[in-house]
Amino acid sequence: MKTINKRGFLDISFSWIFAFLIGAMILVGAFYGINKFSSLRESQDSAELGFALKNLLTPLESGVETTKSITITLPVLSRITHECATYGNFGEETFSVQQKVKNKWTNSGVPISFSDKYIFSPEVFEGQKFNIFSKPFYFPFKVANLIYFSNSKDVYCFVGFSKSAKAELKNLNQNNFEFDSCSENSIKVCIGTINCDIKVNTNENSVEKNGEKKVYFEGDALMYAAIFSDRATYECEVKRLMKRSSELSDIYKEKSLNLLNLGCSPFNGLRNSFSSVESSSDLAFTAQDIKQVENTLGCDLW
Amino acid sequence: MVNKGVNNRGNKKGQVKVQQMAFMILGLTLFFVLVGLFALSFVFSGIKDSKNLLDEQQATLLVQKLANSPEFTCGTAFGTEKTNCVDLDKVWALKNKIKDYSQFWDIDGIEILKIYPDSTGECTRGNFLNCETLTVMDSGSGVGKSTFVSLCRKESDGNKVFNKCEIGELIVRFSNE
Repeated sequence: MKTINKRGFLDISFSWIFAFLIGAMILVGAFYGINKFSSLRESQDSAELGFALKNLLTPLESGVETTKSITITLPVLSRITHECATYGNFGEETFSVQQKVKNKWTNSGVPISFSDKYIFSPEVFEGQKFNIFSKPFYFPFKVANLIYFSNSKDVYCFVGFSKSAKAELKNLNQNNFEFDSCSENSIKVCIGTINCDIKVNTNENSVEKNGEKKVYFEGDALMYAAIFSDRATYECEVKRLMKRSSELSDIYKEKSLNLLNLGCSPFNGLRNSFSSVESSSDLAFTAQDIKQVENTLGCDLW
Repeated sequence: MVNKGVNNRGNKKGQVKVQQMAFMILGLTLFFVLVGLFALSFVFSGIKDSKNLLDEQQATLLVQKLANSPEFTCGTAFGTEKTNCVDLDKVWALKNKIKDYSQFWDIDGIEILKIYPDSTGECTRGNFLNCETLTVMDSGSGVGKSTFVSLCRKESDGNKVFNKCEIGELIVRFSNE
């Protein structure tokens, strides 16, 4: 009797302890595997969505239309992080998509990068349905088609815009654009009015948003760019556009030299002028250089 | 002595049981791992297909986009703006700067093929007006996607300058890795 009592309160043999240990290890391994698998699946979804988004934007860049628009509806509420960098010959931008699944945001999405697109949106924006339109940017030759993103739930009300600008925006058929009579919660974009969320000054070619420093534009394409993006994104994309303009300017310079005997005057290029643009406030100086150069061309170079 | 013998026998019996259990657990673990691997391969078999599909879509869209991109398009140099019109004078200048564009479009090669009128040979500075293929970006290999384009350039007959447009094909090559 005494010997039995000495064996202790729990009479568990070594084989049971061994089995529990191994069983626990298997369970922990299984949970770890499931966790890894689901995060891998999230990454796959994010990468597929990002890549599909990239493909959907491509048709906006081809063709000779003055403006083009599409609406993209994502499967679930998504958060798109848009980063812009200016390194190299053209800079780069990166999109990553996070999705809201069961009231929780998935881990940070797989980044999809591209150098040949110029997208104007806030750095981080959320939504399920996005209205997107594009417009070519000429400076003085065509540089790129600029792409503008807006959440379909954010209503933009344009006040004081010219007839032609309003007609252009109306033709996009975007249901989140209003003109002159604004609904209560709309984002008011105004020319020459004081109490507005986004103030456009067409005399000094500037756009000012609540709480942000002014940015400057040349032409309607960049004006819309300033309206639909935040300051950091806008300035970065302007620098990227100037980099591409520099490359195109070199191409036109060589083309003009090749066509000297066909009536063209030598075009010295505008690389220096484009490269000197440090921020959007320098665009006006480049615009002046362009005006001077345009008058000296002997042929239709672009 | 008798007690010792009973203990030894008990230990051996215990050792055999532990061994049995260890084999059993090993077998079970292996089974689950195999089932897991099978499930994973089933679930992820679609990834490659979907990547290929997206790549294919991208290639088709990109070749259209490229034909109308500022580096290739005629713009208003040959009258009003046209779609799928390639300015050969500009492309020749681009060819000399193509290193700058090596990472820009995410493609491996660009070729321009003259379809009509018939001509042969690779285009060089000397035979620019009478050749078949202009390799803008050399790829060596890769899957090609193409679109038909007008190939336009400025020419002169000695008295006046005129626009000359011919039928061609813009071919874009991608690696299929």
